[in-house]
Amino acid sequence: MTGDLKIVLEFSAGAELLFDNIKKREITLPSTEKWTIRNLLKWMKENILRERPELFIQGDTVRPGILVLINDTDWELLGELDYELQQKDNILFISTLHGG
Amino acid sequence: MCSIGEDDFGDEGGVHSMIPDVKTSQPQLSIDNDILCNKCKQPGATYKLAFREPECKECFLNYVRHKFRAALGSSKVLPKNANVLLVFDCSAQSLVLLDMLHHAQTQNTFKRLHCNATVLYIDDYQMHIDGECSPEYEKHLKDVQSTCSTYEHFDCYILPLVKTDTVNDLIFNLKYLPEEYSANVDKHKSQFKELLNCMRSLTSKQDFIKHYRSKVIGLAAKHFQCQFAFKADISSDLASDLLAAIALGRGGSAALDVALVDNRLDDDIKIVRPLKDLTEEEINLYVIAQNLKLLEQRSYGSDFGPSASLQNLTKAFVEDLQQNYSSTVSTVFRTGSKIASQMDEKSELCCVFCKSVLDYKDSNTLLAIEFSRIVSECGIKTEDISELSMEAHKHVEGDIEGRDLTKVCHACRNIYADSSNKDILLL
Repeated sequence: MTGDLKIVLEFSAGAELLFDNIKKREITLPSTEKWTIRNLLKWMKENILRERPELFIQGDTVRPGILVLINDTDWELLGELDYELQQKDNILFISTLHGG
Repeated sequence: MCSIGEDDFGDEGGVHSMIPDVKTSQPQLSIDNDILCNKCKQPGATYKLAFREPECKECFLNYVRHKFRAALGSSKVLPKNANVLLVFDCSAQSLVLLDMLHHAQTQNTFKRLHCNATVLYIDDYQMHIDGECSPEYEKHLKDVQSTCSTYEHFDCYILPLVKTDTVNDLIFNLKYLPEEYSANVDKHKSQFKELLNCMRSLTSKQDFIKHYRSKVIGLAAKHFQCQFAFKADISSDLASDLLAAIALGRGGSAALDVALVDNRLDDDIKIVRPLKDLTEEEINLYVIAQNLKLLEQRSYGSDFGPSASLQNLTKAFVEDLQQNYSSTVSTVFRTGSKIASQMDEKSELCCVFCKSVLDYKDSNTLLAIEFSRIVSECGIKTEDISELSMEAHKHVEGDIEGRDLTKVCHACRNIYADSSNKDILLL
């Protein structure tokens, strides 16, 4: 479908360990709904989050201590969960939690 | 006992307890690059650190680099043209330290940091793998070589974590690393690994490695005639190190574990921690901003989970609190910086292993611990109480199992007690 949303997800500093140890992946989201970071996190939890979801998700947002950069810009500057995803957006999740 | 919400406070309770961070909702901003940087007032703010306003990449880099320079500058610890050994351990923070030092040395004359730096990678990969050298290890070595080669300004060396008597023979230049390096050092590395296996608990192993590394750093610094060794510890590392040191019975020297300058090493070599004021968040954003390539890094024992050792548990405790109480690390760390160490230093009064000031003299606490231990060991046998007390005194003074441990501090004696190799602290 031409309207599908293609974005890139990147994981760094240990966050990749929860996602099959894959640091970078391109995903295609169906155009059936308006995609925000909030929906994306839900989608990630259901589809690609493999291990210990509590280390990544807390409620409907990411766990404190995980930095989110959208196209190299801190998500806090872009509306956080309400940011509407655009074609070819690059979402980077950096974990500042390294466990014991 | 301390408690919250009692009459002494004159409140209903809970007011003095810690309150989790309240997440303020951020106004929806447009995605154009029109967010102004709070510092330079130009559009293009991309980073928003906790407790700071949005800022652009350049201002962010200036801010974190300033923290590094200020740590060195305000303390006036580094004389001009000093020889510095930069200890690289593949972690993100040591990569940031390398990059910052490189940047500081490539500034114009006015701003340049005048020192002669040598980079040393302490190769402890063998502790994380079982068996022979693997292709992963070879790849890891290549990655380290390629990272270091991007900083042509510095001479980079590699030293495997081995017994101290072989340190000087096993330092190699990373640029001209012999083909047979891994085969040559394999024997030495396995010897060290066997040494580690003499200890029963992970707590002792981690404590041993921490202080052994400092010892090796001191020897390497002497080898390169460096009076200073830069370590890339950041505030979160130091906060958990401080609490772990206290839990391990190293309270007497805990201040030096988190201070900017640690002067415990022999030959007047000082360990300096110029990144001590940086946070994990700043390190990660610096890596992104400078597009640095992260290397694989593991710390010994971290795979075994939080309850495997006192250090892991302390680290997990601090990190867990930090999630919802974002001032945890700074509170612990700042408290640590206010603790003064005992400074009546005479070389003969230092621990042979960790070089801390000996802490057992006239210690009633240790006497109570030893007395309690001896009474427990006695079981139901009745002994003369004064004899038990004499025995406890002997133990505190360092006469344990007929060996002279008078020059070993309390915490290092715990390592000794946990090890089947009774010469472990003399290596």
